[in-house]
Formats: sequence, structure tokens, C-alpha cells
Amino acid sequence: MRIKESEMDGVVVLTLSGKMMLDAKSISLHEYVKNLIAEGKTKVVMDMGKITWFGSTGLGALLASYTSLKDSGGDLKVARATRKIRSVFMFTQIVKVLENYDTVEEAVAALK
Amino acid sequence: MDENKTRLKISLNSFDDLESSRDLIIEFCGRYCKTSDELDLLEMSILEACHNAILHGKKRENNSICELKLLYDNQSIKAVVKNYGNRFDVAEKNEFSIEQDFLQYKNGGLGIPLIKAIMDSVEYERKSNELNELTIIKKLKKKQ
Repeated sequence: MRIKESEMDGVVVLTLSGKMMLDAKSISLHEYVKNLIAEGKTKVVMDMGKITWFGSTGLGALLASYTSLKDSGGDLKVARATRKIRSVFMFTQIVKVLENYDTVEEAVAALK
Repeated sequence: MDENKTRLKISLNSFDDLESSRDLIIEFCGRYCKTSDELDLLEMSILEACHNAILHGKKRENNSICELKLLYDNQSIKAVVKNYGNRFDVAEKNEFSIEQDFLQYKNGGLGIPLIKAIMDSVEYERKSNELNELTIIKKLKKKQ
């Protein structure tokens, strides 16, 4: 998985692409988020429109990131989750706590 | 060919193998699933089981690291995933729940809870010679 970082209205936008799976080549998303928190950046949007593989590793990374951000007084929103990811969110009821937005702009606005 | 009973067997030695077999798995399950949600969740469970089997599996002589068999029979899809490696216990893991797994999430271990939540049956058997066999079954929705 690749992570591209940008900033919009004081909110960090992480554009994720590729496979959210456990292998040696993947960057740890949770570690990345913990580094952001250490820099005082606690409002994060994850743009998941380019994720091609999502399983328990990806879910775990989202849960860990969400928990760390919440514990630091911040928040996490998801944008552009693919149909498959939304199916998992719905089935597991994660959608109740981790909201998905159709666009990055909407997700950023929800954090302001 | 009996349309009520079909099967597919795939040998997997790497995550790349799994990725390149993904379309075959989707195509097989897609023949019988009635909704895209049903197909998405079934695909995720099967890929999850294979991913774990490759991640924790060991290469044994001429055998592949992981073998996946898909069978359709009587409105159900059964996936049998075999690998060689350490024993694991599906019984000690509960189904995924938002309270237990999300709000109290620590580290890893979500694969089996997710599979248990999605599939109707999850059975594990430890065979001789460090062979693990995981059998997961999904009863498909009836046609409207």
C-alpha cells in the first residue's frame, strides 16, 4: 500500500492506494498515523478510493488508527470507500462509528 | 455437467498467486451469489482464509504453500483451505463484534472473527504432518 499525504483546511488527507494487506512491502498505516499524532496532527481523512485489496489487516489498521486519533482528542473520517469496503463496513456495523463520505471535501468539512 | 455441483481447485505459493487467482474466485462465486454484497463478503472471507494460510504456511516438498478448493453444492459454497504450518484454534475466536473488536481493538487477529461473522460454518481440522484444513461454508440467498 502507498500513502500520499496532503493537507486541506487544517485536516490531514491520506490518500491510500494499492493493497491493504500484511506483507513486507507495506507501510504500516497505524505507525504513520501515530507519527502524525506526535506532530500534533489529529484530524485525519483517509481517501480509500484507490484501495484494491481490503481484508482484516486493513480493517485492523483503520481500527487502530481511529482509536489512537480519538484517544488524542482527534478524529478520523473515511472518504470514497469502494463498494467492497462499504459492504464490510455495513456488515460489521463499523459504519456506525466510522463514517464514509462520497468525497474528500465532504469528509474534511465534517472534521472542521 | 451437473450444474448443481461444481468445483474449482487452485494452488497458491505467494500473495501474487492469490491476487492473480482473485478473478477466478470471483467468477466462480459470482455464478451463484444473488447480490453484490453477498459476493463481496464471500470473496473477502475466502481471500482472508487464503491470505492467512500463505502468510503462516510452510512450503513442503512438491506441495504448494496453500491449496484452495471451492465447491458449489445445493445452494451453498464451500471453501476448503489447506496449508502446512502451526496449529491454530478457530474455536477460541468469537465472531467479529463492534463492541469487542472495534472499541477494544488491540492488535491483529481479526481474520477468523470476520470469517466467522460472514460465513455460516467455520470448521478447522488438524491433520497429520502439520497439515491444517479450514472449511468454510456460506449458504446462499434464495432467488427471489
